[in-house]
Amino acid sequence: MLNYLYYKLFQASLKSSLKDTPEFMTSISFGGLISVNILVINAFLAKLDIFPFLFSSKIQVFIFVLITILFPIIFYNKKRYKTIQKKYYQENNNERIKGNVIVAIYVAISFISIFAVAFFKPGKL
Amino acid sequence: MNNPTLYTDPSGYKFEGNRMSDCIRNDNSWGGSSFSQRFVFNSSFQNNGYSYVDMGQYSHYVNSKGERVDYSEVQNNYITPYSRPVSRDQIITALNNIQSVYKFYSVQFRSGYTSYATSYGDIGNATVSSNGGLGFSNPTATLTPLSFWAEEAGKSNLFGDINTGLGAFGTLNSIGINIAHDYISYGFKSANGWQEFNKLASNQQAWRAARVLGKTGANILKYAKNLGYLGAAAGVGVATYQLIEKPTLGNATRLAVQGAAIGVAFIPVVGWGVSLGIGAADLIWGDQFYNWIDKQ
Repeated sequence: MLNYLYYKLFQASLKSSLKDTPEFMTSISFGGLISVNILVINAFLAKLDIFPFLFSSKIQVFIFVLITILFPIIFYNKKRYKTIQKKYYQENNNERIKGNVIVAIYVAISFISIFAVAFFKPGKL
Repeated sequence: MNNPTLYTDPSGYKFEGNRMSDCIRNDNSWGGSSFSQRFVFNSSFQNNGYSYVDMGQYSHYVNSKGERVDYSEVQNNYITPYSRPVSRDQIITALNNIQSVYKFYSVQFRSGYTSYATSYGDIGNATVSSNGGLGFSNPTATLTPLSFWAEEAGKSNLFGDINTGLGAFGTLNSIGINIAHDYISYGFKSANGWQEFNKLASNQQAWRAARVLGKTGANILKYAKNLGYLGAAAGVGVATYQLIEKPTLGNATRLAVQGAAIGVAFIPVVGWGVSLGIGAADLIWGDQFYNWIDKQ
């Protein structure tokens, strides 16, 4: 699933203004998304008193985001990406469109969920 | 009403020379617990950066009269921001008001160089003892020493600078890229200009960049664009934290703007340039704009 997300973001990067270095842009997008997801889920659980909120400052979040971005930069090397590309390159047009829609929805939900969690029990954290 | 040197509270309090604290701070960051509603009494950090008031994560509380009071009101009316001195009574008033809603919180009390905190629990009514200390009517709310002050003070400065630092980095980086990009886009007989340059095949673009900037310069240009994008991504993370910590319209707008800076980078050709514009505007007018929104 994560591989597919990476693949789709890579395809989007190839059409972006940073198409010269798609692997970097993809890693940044991928790591940024995952880190925001973790942040939001953690905040949600903390607001429900299920799990403590792990971040106590902006600098912690900043470092966390950078580390999360660093991970795909290291992990998704050229060899690994070629394997992923081989796996998904075969998808037909219908599958491709379906995949694009799912990833777009996921990105949108990731963004909207930040607002939803922030305004859920506001001030609890 | 909010005079930094001579302050008079509408309820009748006057500025007192004999003050217990320069700063009161509401901060839940310590311990990461949802119960850690925190007030900080601080008497000696004016010179090292721990000198602002952050009434933070709760947008409002209900005072003892059952009235809703926004924290911006607290900050303006009870607690003088930016390390302007506040009186002991003002702190006690703020404490008493706030505890009417939130029973469980941690109170940290600094005396000289020793800091204290209650264990989580209802502190009862806060009172001032004859020797100037704070007393709590709940006997189980014992004070225990803490030792994180110096660390917190250092972090406060850093936190405050992260957004600016990220913005400045992104902006300067992007300005540099823009200039370099202009050099390789213009001054050629064919494919002259950004739009035309971007229509070239990638190997043609690479050739032109290497010719104008040298091989190393061309590589730096290529990856520097990503540094700006990296800064924007980190900015979204930080803005997310700010919104979760303090869910105000201003912080929501901040996140939306940062998100837009990320999103537009996907627009072919000019996306990263537009992203630069958003980042620069955010750096210059951002805080002012978001604060203005919060006050509306």
